[in-house]
Amino acid sequence: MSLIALRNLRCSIDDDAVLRGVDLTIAPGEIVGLVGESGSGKSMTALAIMGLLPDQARTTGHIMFDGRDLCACDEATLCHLRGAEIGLVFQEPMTALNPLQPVGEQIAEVFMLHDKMTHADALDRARTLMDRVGLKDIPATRYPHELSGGQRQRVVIAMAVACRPKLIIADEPTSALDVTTQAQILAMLKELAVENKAALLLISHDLAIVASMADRIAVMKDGAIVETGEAASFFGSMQHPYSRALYEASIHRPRRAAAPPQTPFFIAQGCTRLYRKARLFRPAETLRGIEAVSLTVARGESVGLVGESGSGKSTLARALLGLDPLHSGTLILDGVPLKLDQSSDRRHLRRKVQLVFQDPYASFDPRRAIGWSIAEPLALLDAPPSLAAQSEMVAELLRQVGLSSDFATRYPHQMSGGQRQRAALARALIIQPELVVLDEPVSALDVSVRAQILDLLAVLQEKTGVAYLLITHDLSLLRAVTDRVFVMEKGRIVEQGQTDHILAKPENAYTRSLIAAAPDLAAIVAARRSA
Amino acid sequence: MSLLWLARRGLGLCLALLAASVIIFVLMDLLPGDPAEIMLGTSARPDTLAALRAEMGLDRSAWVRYAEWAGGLLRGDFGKSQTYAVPVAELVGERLVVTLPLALISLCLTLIIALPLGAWAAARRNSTTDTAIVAITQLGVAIPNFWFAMMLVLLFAISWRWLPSGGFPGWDAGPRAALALILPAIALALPQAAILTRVMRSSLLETLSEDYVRTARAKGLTRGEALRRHAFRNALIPVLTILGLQFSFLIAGTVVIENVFSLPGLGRLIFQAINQRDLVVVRSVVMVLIAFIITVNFVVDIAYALVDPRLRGRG
Repeated sequence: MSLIALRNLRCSIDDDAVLRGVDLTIAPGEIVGLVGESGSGKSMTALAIMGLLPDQARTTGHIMFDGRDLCACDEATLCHLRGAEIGLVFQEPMTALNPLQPVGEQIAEVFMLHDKMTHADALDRARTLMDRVGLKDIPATRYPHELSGGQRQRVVIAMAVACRPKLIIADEPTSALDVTTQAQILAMLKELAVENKAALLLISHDLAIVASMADRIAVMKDGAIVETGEAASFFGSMQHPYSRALYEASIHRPRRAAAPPQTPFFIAQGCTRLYRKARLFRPAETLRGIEAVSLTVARGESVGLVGESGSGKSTLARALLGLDPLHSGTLILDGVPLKLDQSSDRRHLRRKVQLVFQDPYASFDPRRAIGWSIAEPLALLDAPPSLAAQSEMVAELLRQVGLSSDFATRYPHQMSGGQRQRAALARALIIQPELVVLDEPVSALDVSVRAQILDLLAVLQEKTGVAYLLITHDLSLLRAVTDRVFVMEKGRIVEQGQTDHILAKPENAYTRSLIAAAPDLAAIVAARRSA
Repeated sequence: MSLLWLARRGLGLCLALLAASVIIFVLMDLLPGDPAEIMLGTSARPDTLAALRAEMGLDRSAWVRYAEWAGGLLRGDFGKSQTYAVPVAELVGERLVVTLPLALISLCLTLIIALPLGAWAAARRNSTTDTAIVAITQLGVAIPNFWFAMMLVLLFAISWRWLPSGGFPGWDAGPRAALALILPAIALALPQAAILTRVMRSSLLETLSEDYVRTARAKGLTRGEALRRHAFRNALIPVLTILGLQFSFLIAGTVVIENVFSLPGLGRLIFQAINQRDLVVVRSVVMVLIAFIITVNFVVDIAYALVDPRLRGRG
């Protein structure tokens, strides 16, 4: 007897079919992982179950939940079910909470609504629940902005499980969180589901997470489920070519030769940059920053910089590019220390060091054609080439990054995420820099696109001899594409060395915790198969 | 709310007042032309002119005159009106008891109309009600308030004789004084309410699409409950900004409306003082009005912090 059964669920929004006949069943207490790429309809499925699709949505089919068809229920019935029988955890903990209300009140609201408790009793229950979800030290009177992303997600989970629902839907519950936080949150979700005998529908783009958590896995593509199977045997017996492609892309490692040892050409020595917050009648408070950070990069080498959010990775990246002044320390390029207060030295630095950002959409001027943006760094040259020569260079680079030359006239919104990230690479490479800083270059991309971009990075490196400094929190990415790695914690480098060596035998406790928390698909699949 | 935050805002308030006083002084005293001659006209006799110059202290340096004026303002001594031959502070005091209630009543009216109407339109997006409210407020934004005031007089005072067409009997007259303020307050409030309704509507529409409203719905709140408990207060934040800006328009509006309704308020005082070239009065009343507006914006800043906990800790 299934708890919930979706039968031929179809949904269209403004004549766009987003769900094309979804069939899925979940048994009581079962954990089902729903994987697929962006736009495949995962979130729409979740919203359809909750009855929270946008007003324009037209739905047909059946959602049988505990003996009734949710598609046929009226709004009042659905309001009783939501929060009480079905709990929902969203992707974005940063925006999922009302910024103007203390978190305790927001949790208590669920009790007042469904269990008809008084305000005081509900607040008591909220406190107990906060203790249960690992927020013992957080007063219930705190506002969301006073909590970290992980803590906020615990609040959201507390609200979802408050009334012991029979079904918990978690839509990408950890994709905005650090690896160690992710591991804790996932473990807690599983625990709570088991404790409450609730079924869990875990939606994710990350096969490793789903493989480690779920009893059963369902793969979604273009608004329909293409394959489902028991998690333990799923990856050994996948039938559908899309499931296989997804798996291949997830464990993809580009073919690249290890860089031969060379003397470094780019050296950062003892870089310190601290942020201070002024306070009245007290000395200024020192906030996060970087302290005495040194690193080196050799020609043609890929160096990784890993750490959790707030560890100072982005501060360091900005400092290395001369975007923010250093409080102390020096950058040495080709043996010459740079004077970063002089614009000529900053220009020299930027000719040699370029940057690719995480969000390929936000990093392009939306009102300029891509070709214009790609050619823009050419202004750094002492004698910029003629316009005709520039457009030739743009066309050549577009070809190198695997785009046709007519992309030069397109605008950012006319391109996909992967195409934009290719264009961002073209922009970084057009003045032939020696080092490209890649700040989470693939974390916003789907797995199949991610694999293509990683291949492209390897090819470009082989062809041009450019060095990469890859900033990421994703250890599988480090393993796949870097030679050496620096581990950063609280603004300091705590461990460094050959990537394989560090990942196999970490000495620092922080590095060990990062590695333990990072889900590794190949290892998980092997472990589940042998179990 | 941190002490540092309040101290910074307080300092900002003082600096703004200081800057305003300097600008007013420079504009009115240092610009070419002899203030005494402007006040008395070109046909004035030389000895009257000299007497006025001496009285106004025009023979002394600008620094001394600014210090005296600003110092007087701080003590509540605004100088003496040439036309009325009474202290300006007394004039301002008499007029303030008309303008201040008028402004406050219109402000309350604006809020009472705009917030529910805007929320109503947003909650029924794209319905006939919504379309009608959007159309009416569009009209309200376009109509000049003095014309609207005259139409109100025509209708309520002349055709139906429900309310007085103008004048102010003084607060001693009790309810009749309040009646005299009703039409002017409506004339001032409706155009403002039209703008604020639109702001409220679009702000609420934006907050209704936020993730936390979806979270509220996922908890089991109905659409209306989610709107009232979670979206409404968040939507007020941009409304507060506009309200602070609108207040200065409201004050400017009193100049026109008080003239239309012959109300003895500050707006009318400044209008008359300009006509009579009573520079001492103009200078001080403008300063009072500016102080008023700056203070209101200071209060709006504090209201922000009260509504939004994220702003409380920030410096």
